[in-house]
Amino acid sequence: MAIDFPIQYRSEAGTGQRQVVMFAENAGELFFPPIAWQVIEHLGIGGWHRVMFTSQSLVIAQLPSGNVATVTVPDQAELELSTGNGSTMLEQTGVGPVPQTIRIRNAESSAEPGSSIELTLEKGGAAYMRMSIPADEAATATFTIPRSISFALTTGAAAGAPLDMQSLQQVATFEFGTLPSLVVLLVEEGGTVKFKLRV
Amino acid sequence: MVAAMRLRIDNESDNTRDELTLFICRPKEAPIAWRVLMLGHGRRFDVELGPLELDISWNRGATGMRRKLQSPYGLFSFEPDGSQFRIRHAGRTRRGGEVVVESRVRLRGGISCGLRAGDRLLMRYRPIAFSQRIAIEIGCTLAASLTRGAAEGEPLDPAAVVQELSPIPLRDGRVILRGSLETGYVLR
Repeated sequence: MAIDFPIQYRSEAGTGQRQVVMFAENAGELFFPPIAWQVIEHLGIGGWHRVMFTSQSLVIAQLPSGNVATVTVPDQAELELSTGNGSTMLEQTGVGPVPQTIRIRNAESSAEPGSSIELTLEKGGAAYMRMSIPADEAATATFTIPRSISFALTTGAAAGAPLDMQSLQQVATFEFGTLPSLVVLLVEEGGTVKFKLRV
Repeated sequence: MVAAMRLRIDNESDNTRDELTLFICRPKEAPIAWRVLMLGHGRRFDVELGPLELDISWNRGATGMRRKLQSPYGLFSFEPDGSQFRIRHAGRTRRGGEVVVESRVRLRGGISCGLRAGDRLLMRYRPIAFSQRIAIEIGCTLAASLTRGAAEGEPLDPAAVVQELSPIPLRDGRVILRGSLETGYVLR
């Protein structure tokens, strides 16, 4: 889908002092846990939260030198990170063969061995996915963007920080499908709270 | 003012081009376009002003809480409840006819209070900080204008107003739009 997708959350139950987090499941990436895309706090009954799952992503490359390069691309793109004449550039070089995949290639460089480049995807103005690749050797990072969004209850989460997967409760994943938007409710059912899709 | 009101609007004019925009006037602030009715979509519109909800938002409008109001007056406190917030009915106001909200939370950017009627935004105010109050008064009339390019839920741009019309009393009733491009339009 090439349009921005609105996601709404409504709390019809209290969370009992826990935060609600929204995150993307990192399909296939063992070493980089999901980060908290949205952290929703303080909401009791009657609470709501709105965010746009933008069809484009802002890609941010943070180099060990402190330089930052950014580019905005759709969710299927091939990018090249290059350094020349003291400046760093992130450029889209193609579309790539796999849908919902952003691939970033970094050429070998004279960066210090052991240093790394941090790559972040932002959607709706907030960090959505993050991983690091070595800065001193040729490497490729592959972000797979799911057509779904996950919700969970937790404590101690911070927006943009990796989630402690062990401490997530009531994890629920909602597929976008062909819907024009998503409304997710937190309801009380059978003595416990859970996330449900509003139909 | 009654908490729920039914209004029937019949278009007996020649206008099928413009929008009929309904809103509540406020002193010193641009009104929010509550309903933008496309005159080209039909001859009769049934509009209900209710149920009323107090809507408090923060986080640059991304997060908020709502509470249904039984009536459009009272004092409400937006306050912490453990790690959650709540909208607590705190009593009566000295003056009748207004909803007063006091902020008892500390949030960067403050809280923005508004009223929704029938799940559509009726009024929204500038953010207030901890210990500040805002008084929201609906009044007893609904303002109406013929517009072009108005957007529901957004401040009404004066440039979008084609012709101002007489205000409608906030009670159950029926009004008729009459007139023509040559003579001008009247809503009564």
